[in-house]
Amino acid sequence: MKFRKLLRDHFFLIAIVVIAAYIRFIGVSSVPPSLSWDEVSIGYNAYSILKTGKDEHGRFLPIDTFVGYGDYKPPLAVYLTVPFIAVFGLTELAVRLPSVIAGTLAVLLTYLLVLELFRQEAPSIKHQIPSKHQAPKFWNLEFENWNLQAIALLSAFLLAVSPWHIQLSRAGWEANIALTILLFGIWLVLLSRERPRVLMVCWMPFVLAMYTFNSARYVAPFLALLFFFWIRDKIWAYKRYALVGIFLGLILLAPLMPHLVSPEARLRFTEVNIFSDLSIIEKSNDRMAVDGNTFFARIFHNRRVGFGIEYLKHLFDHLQPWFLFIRGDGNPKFSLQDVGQLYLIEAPFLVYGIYRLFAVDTKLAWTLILWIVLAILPAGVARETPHALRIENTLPVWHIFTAYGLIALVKSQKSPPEADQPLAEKVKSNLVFIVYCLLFIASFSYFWHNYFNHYAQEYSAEWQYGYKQAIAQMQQFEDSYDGVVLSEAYGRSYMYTLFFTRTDPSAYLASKKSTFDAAGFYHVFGFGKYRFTDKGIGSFDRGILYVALSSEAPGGERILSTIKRLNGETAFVLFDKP
Amino acid sequence: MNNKVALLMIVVLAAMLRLWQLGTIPPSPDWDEAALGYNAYSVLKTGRDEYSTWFPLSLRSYDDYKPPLYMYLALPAVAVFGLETWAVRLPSAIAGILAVLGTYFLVKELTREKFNKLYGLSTLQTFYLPTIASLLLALSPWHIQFSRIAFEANIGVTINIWAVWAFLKGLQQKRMLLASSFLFGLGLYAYHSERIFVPLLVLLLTWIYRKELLMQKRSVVVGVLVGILTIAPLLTVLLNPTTIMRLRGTSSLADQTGLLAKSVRKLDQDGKSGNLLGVLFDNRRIVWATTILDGYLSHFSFRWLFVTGDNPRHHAPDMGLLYLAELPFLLWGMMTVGKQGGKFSKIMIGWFLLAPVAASPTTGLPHAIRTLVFLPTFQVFTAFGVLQALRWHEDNKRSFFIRLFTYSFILLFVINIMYFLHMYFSHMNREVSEYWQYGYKQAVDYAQKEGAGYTKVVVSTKLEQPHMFFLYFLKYDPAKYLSEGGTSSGGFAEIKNKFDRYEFRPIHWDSETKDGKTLFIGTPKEMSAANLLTINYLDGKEAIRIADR
Repeated sequence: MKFRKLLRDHFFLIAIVVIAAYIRFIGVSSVPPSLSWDEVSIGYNAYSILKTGKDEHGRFLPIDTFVGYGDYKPPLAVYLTVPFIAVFGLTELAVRLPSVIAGTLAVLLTYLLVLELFRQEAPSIKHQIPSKHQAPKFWNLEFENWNLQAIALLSAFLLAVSPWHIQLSRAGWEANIALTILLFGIWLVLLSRERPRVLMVCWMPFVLAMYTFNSARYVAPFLALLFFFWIRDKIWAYKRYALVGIFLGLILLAPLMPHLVSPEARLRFTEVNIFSDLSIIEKSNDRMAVDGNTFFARIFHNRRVGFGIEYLKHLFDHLQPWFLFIRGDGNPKFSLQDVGQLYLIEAPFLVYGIYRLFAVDTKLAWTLILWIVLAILPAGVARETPHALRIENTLPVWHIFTAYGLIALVKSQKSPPEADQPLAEKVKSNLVFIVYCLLFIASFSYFWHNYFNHYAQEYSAEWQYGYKQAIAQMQQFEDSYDGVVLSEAYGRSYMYTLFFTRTDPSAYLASKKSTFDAAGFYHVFGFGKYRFTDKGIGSFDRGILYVALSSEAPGGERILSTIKRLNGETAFVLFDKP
Repeated sequence: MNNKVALLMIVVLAAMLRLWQLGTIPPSPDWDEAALGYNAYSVLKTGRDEYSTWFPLSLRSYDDYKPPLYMYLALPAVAVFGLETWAVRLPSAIAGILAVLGTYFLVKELTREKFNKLYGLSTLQTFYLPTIASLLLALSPWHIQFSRIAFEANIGVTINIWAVWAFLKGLQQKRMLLASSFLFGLGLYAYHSERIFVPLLVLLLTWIYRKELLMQKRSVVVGVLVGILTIAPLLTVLLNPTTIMRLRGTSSLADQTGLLAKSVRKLDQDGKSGNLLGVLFDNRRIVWATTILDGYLSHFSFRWLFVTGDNPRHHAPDMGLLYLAELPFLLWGMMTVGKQGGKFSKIMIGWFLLAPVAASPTTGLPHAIRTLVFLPTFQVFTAFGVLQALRWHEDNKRSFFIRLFTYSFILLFVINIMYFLHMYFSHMNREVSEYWQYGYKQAVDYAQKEGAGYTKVVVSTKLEQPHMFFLYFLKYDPAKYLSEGGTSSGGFAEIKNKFDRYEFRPIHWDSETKDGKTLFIGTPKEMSAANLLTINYLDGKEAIRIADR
């Protein structure tokens, strides 16, 4: 009875969440075609924790960071993966499920969040909260009753079918989990306006996000501050709760602090940032010299000006139309290359939504715009821009604006349609909405068609396809050889070997030969009977099985097996010396 | 301040920024400028262009079939001052100054009547708007860049501004409507983009003022006739297959194989897996549409507009096309204009959205020249934002922090402008002389001075269109040139070009006969040695080598 009532009251929301879950879950083991470097690392570390309580480096239950490949992964994603590994074993599904679930929850949270954001705000739209027993009647278009619901539902729906979010929810990206945690935090902060006790816990998700993804370490505090200001009256009114909340947040942050200020963390930062670019300093020195090193020359051509301009380039990269609407991130792991991060059809409504919201509710519009800006600001210091993963925290603001724009456009029509209108009239007065829906369905189908039918084939190389198949072949042959040599040409073959052979973590720890290089990266040269090499195969000996690129074959070898990518190119060959 | 005095000062400022050192900044004429200059010289002396076409309506030039207007505008300047770089650039500079003036009158005309009430402005505030807009255009990096070089696009911008102004005037005075249609027609002679943009702009205006125009049917009909008469001579050119060829050459859809490779692969896959949707989704028409939309949207890029610009020839180093300090005002201005609506907003937003249409299907986007027709919409929107900011300051100026904020922002704006002027006038030449094909003048001087001892001077076509630069800097007598055959081709057959003892072809350094009787002028890449002279770009990089053995 209770369930039926819930279903009736929230039919659309449930439908949207189910659609979101379906889109994220269906065939997730095979599209994307294979596990990326980061996914196997997270998976095996989770496995290692599960079996021994230690990570691949032998650290016992690390709570600050997983050293991984020397990229120092934030820990939460690994721990969230542990139960799935326990249930499903070391499989693609187990590694990807946390992100799939987080992605589905993000859709639900978007709905809740938008309800909170627009409640009591947007003064010019008459939105009473619909009475709980009255389901929103989509077909009636009685706007006064369900403006708020409509915006929230539409935002959630747009996120559910967003190429950006689908793409990142269907692989084990930490960023996607961090986004969901952050959305939960923001929702709690907004909720605390009505339930002040929430103030005691609402900052904790922001800290948890910092335990989940590197970029979130900068974005989460910014967003926390932004929404701190949004509810500052409440905080002032309930100082005690607020203080407890801040205190709890700081306590939760404490274990991470030593890592945040550590040289390793800084090393990673210098490696990806733009400020280590020497050419800018050379250019500025050169210009100063031309101007005779005068006072003004030293101000105008200061390297900081040069770096400022460089930063702006990278910052604005994230607003490039081709990135947002046409091709998306240049890295095929984050984008199909055929569809933008957002649908092209969303562009006019996004612009219109921003414009309308500024006209109607400047405070809310500023908050949402600042959300986007704050989420992009840290990504601008990186060399690789635009970067869909690092600015994933701008989601779902784009979709909220788009949903708002569309609702506002439909609503702005002169005469609101009446319930007993003939159908033809109804269609006519909702033409924009209907045409948009059709175009939207077409856009989504286009994305989904490409994603499901072509993506895996086109970009299997980018997903390190071939390791799993090669290692499965290797396991068939290896018993009759003294050792196996694997090429490192596609990177991190030791981790793929660990993952797909399900090597016992303690056996690995006991037999591995490894080192950190000068740049802080971790290299494993071998464990058990496996050797890994990135400089060709070395001496070509009998009794050794080689898993390498066909270009690395020395000649005179006996090919045992050839592993092809999905587009027919050769990934690996297995061979020995006859 | 008196309005007229302010306007006069702005025009003087615009003139100073556009005329000062016109011949030497940018450091040398690029190939298009040289071609326009020499063709003007040729038409002046002989009535024919380099291909001996009599008073051409389309300049074949480098087989890019340039619109002719600029060349004719350059005639008087070349006649009076000779074939000098600054004289060739003069029409563009004057057009730039006129555009600044025109923006003032255009905005003034647009903000007449009812406008105050609609926008809630005082008369005085409305009064400021044209002044601010024209000041911003006078200082605009984008507009200054193209007002100081002999590029056809800049003439088009000025014509657009005055044509729209005349159109608005024409709603009251019939005669102005005729002037307007003449100017719109003239626009088609100015630049390729204009040929698509002007009809769209005319359609936009006609739609917005359809009621007003219907009330004066007779003058509209006469206006249309004047327009048709103006463009009639051009029709032969527009319908000519070679002009259409040029369009195809710059089209982003031209490279079919590269563009469609992926969709062909996908269709193949769909065929194998029997996926019927593939016919719909992996269709080449979708690829084309996306490519064109990509081109269109590429111009709404903050990075391009405010930070990087495109080709180094199109902007000062480390500067975008607009001032970064304009960004908040631009957004604020657009917001206000959009919110208040009215005809003003329809015209400005329509103009703004139509501006990149002509460039959309072309390659190498975003492109600052093909979308120069954006001007002056950016400046008008920004002026609105500035006005809004001034009003906001006026309302809040009691607060110390507000005042501090305003003054520091003004300071930032001033620094931004100074930075641009400094980069443009002091650093641009040195850093981007390569893109301005610097070095030809020195090479020609050398060839002229020392060339007497040689039977042949071979200039490498790797230097890009050397025949034109030699004609231009030698001020070679056009009559003589045409009697020697003129230009045979500017495109693929350019190696046939020769005159006097100059020969233009690729240099094969190892197999050339080096008997000391032939002077070779070429790129450092082609020639392993330069025993006579090496010419450097202004940043010290090697540009041209001259050798005889």
